[in-house]
Amino acid sequence: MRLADDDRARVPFALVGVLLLVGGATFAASLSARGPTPVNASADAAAERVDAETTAALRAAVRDAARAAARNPVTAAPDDGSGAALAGPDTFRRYLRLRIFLAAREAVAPVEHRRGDAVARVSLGESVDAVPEALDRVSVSAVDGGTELRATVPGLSLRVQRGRHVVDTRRLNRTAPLAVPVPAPIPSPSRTAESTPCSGMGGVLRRSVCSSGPGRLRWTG
Amino acid sequence: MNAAIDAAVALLLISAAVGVIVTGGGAPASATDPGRADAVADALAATTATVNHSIAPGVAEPNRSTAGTGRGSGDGIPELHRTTHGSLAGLLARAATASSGVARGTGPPEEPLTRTRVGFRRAVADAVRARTGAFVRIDAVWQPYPDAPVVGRVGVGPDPPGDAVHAATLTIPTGVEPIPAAATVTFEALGRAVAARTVEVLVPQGAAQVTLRGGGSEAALVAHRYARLAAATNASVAAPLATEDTAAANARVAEALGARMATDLRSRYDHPGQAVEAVSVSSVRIVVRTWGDPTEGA
Repeated sequence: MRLADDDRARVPFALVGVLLLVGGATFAASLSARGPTPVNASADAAAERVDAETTAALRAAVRDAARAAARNPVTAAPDDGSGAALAGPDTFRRYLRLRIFLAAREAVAPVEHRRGDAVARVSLGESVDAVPEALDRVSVSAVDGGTELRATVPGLSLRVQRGRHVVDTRRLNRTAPLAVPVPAPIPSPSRTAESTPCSGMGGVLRRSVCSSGPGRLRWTG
Repeated sequence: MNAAIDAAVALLLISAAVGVIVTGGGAPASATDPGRADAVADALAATTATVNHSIAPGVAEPNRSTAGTGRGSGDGIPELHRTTHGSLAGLLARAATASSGVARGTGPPEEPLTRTRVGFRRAVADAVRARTGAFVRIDAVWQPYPDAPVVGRVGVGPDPPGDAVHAATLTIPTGVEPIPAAATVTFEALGRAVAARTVEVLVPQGAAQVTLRGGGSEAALVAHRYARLAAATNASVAAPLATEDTAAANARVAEALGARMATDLRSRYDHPGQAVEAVSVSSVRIVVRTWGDPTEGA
C-alpha cells in the first residue's frame, strides 16, 4: 500500500520529521543571519579607551606642572593684573593649582579615540579664561606629611559622538598622586615674611629650590 | 512494514534536523574576538608602577675615554639611583623620548643620544613585561614626523607572528605645545616649529638650566648630552652653555635641526598643510599587539 492511498486518519511519522527538518533549518538560518555583533559597542569601547588615556595624560601633566612650578616658583603675587588672583596666604599653592590646570587642559585636549564611526574626546574647562575660575577647577593637598602631592581635577567632560549625534556625555573626576614634595606644609605659623624669596614654601622644597642646588628635582639627560 | 519505513524515515529526518540546528546555530557564538589588545591598552594607561633605576651607565660614558674604568663602575653609588612613579603608558612614553637618538646623515639614528637612561629604559621594559605576560608586544615610538632624523622607541615582548594579531593604539602627550596655526604657512616655519619642540623634548630648557647650575655629576651629564646633540646637528653650543643659557643653546640646536627638517618635509610633502597633518612631535604613540591563546597571559 502506498502512502498516498492510505485513507486512515493518521499523520505519518515521516511528515512530522519533514516538518521538524524544515523548522530547524529555518531557525538555524535565522540565528546565523542575525550577524556577529547585534549591538554596536564602538561608542562604549571608544569612551573606555579615552577614559584610560585621560588618566595617563593627567598624571604626566600634573608631574610636569609640579616640577615646573618648583623650578620657577611664584611666592609673591603682583598687586594688579591677572596675577593678583594669586594673592593671599597660599600664593605658591594657588600658583601650583593654576599651572596644573593649564597643563591638564593642554594634556587632555589631544586625547581622542576613533572606533568605527564613534569618536570619543575629553575636555577640561575650555571656556575658562580667568585665573580665579581656573583655580576653582583644581584642588591640591599634601598627603603623608607633605612628602607627596595629590592633585584632584574634577569636571573633565567626556563626549562620545557618532557622526553628528552626541551618543554619550560623562563627567570624570581624576586624582593624581605624585611623589614630589612641592606643597609641603609650612612649619612656622608666622607667614608674614613674604618679602624674602621662597618664604611661601615648605621645608623640603625650600632646601631643594632655594639653596644652591635643587636636590631631588634635578633633571638628567 | 509500512509503519517501520515511516518510523525509520522520521528518525532520519529528526536527526538531520538536530544536526542542522547544532551546526547552524553554533557558528555566531565564536564570530568575533573581544580583542584582548584593547584590554591591555586600557590596563597600560590605568596601571601605575614604580621603577628603580640607576643613571650610572651615563656617568661612565663621558669618562670612558679618559679614566678607562670598566663599565657599570658607578652601579653601587646611591647618589645615582633614581625612582620614578607613573602609569605604565606614561613610563613607556618617557622611556621612548629618553632613549631617542639623532641621525647624523640620512636614515634612522643608530643609537640613543646618551646612555644615561639605559637603566631606566630597561627597568620600564621589565615592569611592563611583568604586568602584561607572554603573547603581547608593545612598541612605544616618538617620532616628530614619519622618517624624521630623530626617533625614540622602546619595544617590550616577543615579535608577533604574521597573522591573527589584534592591535590597539594609545597616544600619550610629551608635554610640548602643539604646532601653532601660524607655523603651517611655509615649510621653513613648520620645520623651525617642529625642531624647536623636538629639542625641547630632547633637552627641556628649564630643567637643563637648573641642573647645569646645580653642578656635580648631573651637570656633567647634561653638558655631555648637549655636546652629543651639538655634534649630531653641527651646531655650536659652547658659548651659551658657558653661562648656562640653555634657551640660547636650544635655539641654536633647533635652528640647525630646523633647516634640515624643512628640506626633509619639503621633499616629502606637496604642501605645508599636508605635512602638518603628519607631524606628531607632541605625542608618543604606543601600539599594543596581542595574539595566541586569550586565556593565557592576561
